Amino acid sequence: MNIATLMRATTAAALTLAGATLLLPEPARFWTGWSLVTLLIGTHLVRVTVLCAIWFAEGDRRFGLIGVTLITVIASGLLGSAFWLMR
Amino acid sequence: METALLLTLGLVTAAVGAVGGLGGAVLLVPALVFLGWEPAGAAPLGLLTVAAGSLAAAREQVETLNHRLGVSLEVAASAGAILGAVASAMFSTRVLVLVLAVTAAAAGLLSGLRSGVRNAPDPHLGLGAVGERAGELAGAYELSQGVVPYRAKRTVPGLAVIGAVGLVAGLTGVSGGFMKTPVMSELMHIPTKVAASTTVFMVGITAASALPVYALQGRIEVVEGAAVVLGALLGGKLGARLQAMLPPTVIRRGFSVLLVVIGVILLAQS
Repeated sequence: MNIATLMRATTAAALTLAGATLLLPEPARFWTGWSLVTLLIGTHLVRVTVLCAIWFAEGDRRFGLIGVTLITVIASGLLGSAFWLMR
Repeated sequence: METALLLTLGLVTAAVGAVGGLGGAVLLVPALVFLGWEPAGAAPLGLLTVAAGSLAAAREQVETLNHRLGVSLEVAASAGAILGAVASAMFSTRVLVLVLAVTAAAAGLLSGLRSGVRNAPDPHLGLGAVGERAGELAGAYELSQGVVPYRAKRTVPGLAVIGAVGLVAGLTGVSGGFMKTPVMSELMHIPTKVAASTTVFMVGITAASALPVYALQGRIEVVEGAAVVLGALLGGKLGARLQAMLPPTVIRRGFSVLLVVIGVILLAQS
């Protein structure tokens, strides 16, 4: 997947969702608003995952593994936070 | 009225963030608090601005930024931030914020006072060389004068400092995104434009990692969030275009002034 295309498509989707959240009445704006937040979180994490896949496919194992390390660190932080908050 | 204000603040802070290479939250959150917002509510809006600004700037900066450098440094920053968050109960955050404020102001002064250009265009390189190199922290980017090659220097100290900034950010809750560009440009000798674009990429990941925690805490207001995100999406794109047009020395000098301002804001907050 091309990173620039992914970013362009996501930016357009985020613009639409942000506009819809401001214009639509409840309860529709609740769902568009949370979709926007999910999209913003997911895109950056998917971006790193796609980069890892590209680097592994290109034979750049070193940076592919560094990317996997980053995803692991972020996932550990998120799981740890979720666990701590839900205690 | 409030929506228009949030949209404008999101636009301005994301544009400044995309030009200079900082999160933008460090400017937006104090501005919101100054306007009467509770810090607990302003912080998630700051992170939404960062995530949206980073996303909007991505397409414009994809040729300039170095993903390998960003991912490598973000491992150190994220690990430091998690360790800092875990250890935050054991330290006086006031002292640490003071340290961060003085460091930001000093980095701004050093960067602003430096004269000359470290990375000059190479007349032998064509547009085909633009981009990052596989397997190493190096690459080339395009300027109006030609294609400029670069290679990261002092990688281990750079990783250590970024990790330490992440640690202080985790301990204090103050975003450390504004320190990433000076570490890359002044310590690792990465060109300012590449460093700024790479920082914008990195702070997007940081924001995406922290936002779920705020969501679990129930601190995200989606309607206000949509207003700052809409502004930040426009501001991020605007800032990235502006960055492409401005000469590196102007960006470096402007960012150094901004760092001193951030240092003063942090001092006032602490």
